[in-house]
Amino acid sequence: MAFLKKLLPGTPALGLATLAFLGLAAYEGLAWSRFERDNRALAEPGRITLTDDTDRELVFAAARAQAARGNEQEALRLYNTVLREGTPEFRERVHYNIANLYLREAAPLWNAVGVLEYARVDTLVALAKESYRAALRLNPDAWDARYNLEYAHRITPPPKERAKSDFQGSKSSVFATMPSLPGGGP
Amino acid sequence: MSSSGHDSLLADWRPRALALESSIKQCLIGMDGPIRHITLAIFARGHVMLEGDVGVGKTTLLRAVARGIGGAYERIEGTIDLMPNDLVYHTYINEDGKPQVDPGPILKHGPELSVFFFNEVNRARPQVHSLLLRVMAERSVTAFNREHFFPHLQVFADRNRVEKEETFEIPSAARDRFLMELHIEAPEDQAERLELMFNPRFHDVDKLLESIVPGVLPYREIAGLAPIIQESVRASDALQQYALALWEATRKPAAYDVAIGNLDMDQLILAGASARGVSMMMRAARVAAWLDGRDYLVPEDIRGVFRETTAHRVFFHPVYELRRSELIGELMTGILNNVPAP
Amino acid sequence: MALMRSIALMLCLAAGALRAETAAPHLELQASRDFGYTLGSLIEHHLRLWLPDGAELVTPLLPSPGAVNDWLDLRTLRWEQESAHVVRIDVTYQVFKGIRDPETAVIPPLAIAYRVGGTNAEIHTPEWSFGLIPLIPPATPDDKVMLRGDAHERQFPAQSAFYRFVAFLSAAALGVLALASRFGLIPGLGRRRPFADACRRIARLRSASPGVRLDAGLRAVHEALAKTHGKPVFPAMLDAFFEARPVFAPLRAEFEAFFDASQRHFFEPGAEETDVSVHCQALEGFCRRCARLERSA
Repeated sequence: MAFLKKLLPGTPALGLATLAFLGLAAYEGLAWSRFERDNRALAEPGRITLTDDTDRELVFAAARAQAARGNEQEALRLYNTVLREGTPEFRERVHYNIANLYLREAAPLWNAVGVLEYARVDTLVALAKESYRAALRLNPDAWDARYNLEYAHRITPPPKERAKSDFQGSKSSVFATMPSLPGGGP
Repeated sequence: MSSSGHDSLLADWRPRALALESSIKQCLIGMDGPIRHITLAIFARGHVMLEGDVGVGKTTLLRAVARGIGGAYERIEGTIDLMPNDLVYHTYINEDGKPQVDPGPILKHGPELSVFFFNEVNRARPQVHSLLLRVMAERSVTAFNREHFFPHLQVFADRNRVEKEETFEIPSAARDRFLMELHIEAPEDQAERLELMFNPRFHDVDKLLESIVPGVLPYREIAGLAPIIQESVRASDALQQYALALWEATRKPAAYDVAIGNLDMDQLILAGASARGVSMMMRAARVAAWLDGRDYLVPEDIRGVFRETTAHRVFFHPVYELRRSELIGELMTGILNNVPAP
Repeated sequence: MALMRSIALMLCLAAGALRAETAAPHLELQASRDFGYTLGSLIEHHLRLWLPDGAELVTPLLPSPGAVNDWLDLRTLRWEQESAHVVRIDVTYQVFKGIRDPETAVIPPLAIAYRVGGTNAEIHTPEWSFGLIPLIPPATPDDKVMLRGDAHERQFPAQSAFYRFVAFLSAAALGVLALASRFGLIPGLGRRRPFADACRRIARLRSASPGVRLDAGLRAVHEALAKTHGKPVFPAMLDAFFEARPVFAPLRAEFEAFFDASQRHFFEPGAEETDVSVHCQALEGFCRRCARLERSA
């Protein structure tokens, strides 16, 4: 017992330590309550109201909810507000989701219309690829990003001509066939 | 008288006082405490109230004291029809068939009266109490158109605590005039009890008291000695602080963490010890210091007389007054236990 | 033994001959493997460059991270002077080549600049070809490929924050408890040491004048006694005190002496305080002995 007592710090040190622990406890308690609140908000991302100091994870969730609702423009806008913030892991996810937005718009177009929508597909795919690369630079092990990027490469014009091509017939504009020219991309 | 004269006077008197104490102790068993307190009272020139059961030796004690002090001794029994006049004079038809007025017990011995014992004082009427008050306070009484003084008078009163019927509680002003209130109880010690029961020496009180040398103390000189004792015994600052704290504690026990059960101490006390009370306490304490051979007070002197000089001066709220006998002891013990010195 | 020494000698000679031969700069490339890479893979090249005497690497001219060509990124390049003549260079590439079928890709030569005798020269890494395989099975038509889904949001670590909160709160509570017991606010927890406290108080008084010190010291010991006994202790109560606290019985004589001294100091007016400092020392010793007994209780 006496030995134990000797190990205990002096009264001033004990007081300081107690104060420090109190402070840490207050900090963690606040963090905990905030996390709880934010987790409840995450459970219903459609209802998130965004203000200037909304946590970026909530913005991310809100963007995803917008995308799920088909409101890609708003989703992109939200993703872009948090694109340059936070941890590499977070930025990787944002880049990846942005890339997915572009690619998911490009893929059906490509598969349905093929080279006829060359300009749009080209632009969208180029944007998607850029974002996938950004994601992969942040995390080379992002296998989803690798896979989707490979797909983006597959549908990159000029592709292998599709078997049934009416390239000449329904071309809407001569400019649209030229790579890297604005052709109605986003 | 010079101070060295005082010193030798005090030194002369101390053995006498101790001799009185020890000779009384020989006659009374198991009463060392009360005997010591009565000795203190004698030299503090204070009156004493005795309280106790019937037949515990109160009267024997007082007779022994009276014999030891010497001087005239008078005694009167309190009864409900006792009137103040009965103390001062009594009238009768003398042998010539004429009415005659003779001085009563108080006046009979004139200024030589040294011990006046009022037995069963609570049976007497308040009118008698007030006369007694005056006798005790001023050591004088007005009778036959003049004042009579009793410079050596010491009053002992005795209160029967068994019976409450046909009794008159002594007013607090009168109680306050008693230096001490002593509780006399039969000895607790078994050997002493056996001694009392079987030793024939204690069965014949008159013969027993004869063993006391009469007039061990020249009673006439006590009145002169008492102030010298009071002057010669000194009190240090620390002791004064202690005495003050004791007094304060009788007024506000809660301030000294004195607690009795779960009583609200602020509700309990109606009035703490009076200023006269504490000055009497200090008088007795100084005598104790002198008897102990010191010329300065120590806390033990005060502690030794605190209960006896103070308990009867603390007044409870009426609600608690009925439980006085059980509460006052705890209060006094609590105060003594909780007031630190120094 | 003699044989081994001769072999070692021969090895040394061989090494010396090698050095003499490689007076011209010379570069060696090491890679863990050259197959099984996919899009996004990192490729690490470890280069060792032997430079002749007087030659040194021109570090500002080393290739900087960035795109090498449209499908290859140079991610990092670190170099380290391994010895006077050898520089070690670690290069990491990232492949972004989209393919439909397995193919062999080639990393183009990398120019490493060095300076010898005031002129810059370059040495090139060899071309390095490696096997690249697709992630999407080769025969799958484009419209049959299922894209990978979006990344999900992460839950906030509420639980771990809660655990930390509880942990810190309990630590703080323990601290408060320890403090409270130290100040004697919790009856029964943490035994109080009145005599030890008194000793500390007396020790603190060392700078005071002897008279003040004796006065305060005696009071401190009286207080300690009262705290130990639960009520003030007077000389007449010593028997009861020793009965209740037999630990202190061995010091009976000292207790009596203490009460004598205290009585003299506080109550005997004009008592000559002879050699107060000696009294002070005695008091301090007495208090220390009491504290020791108190600890053993």
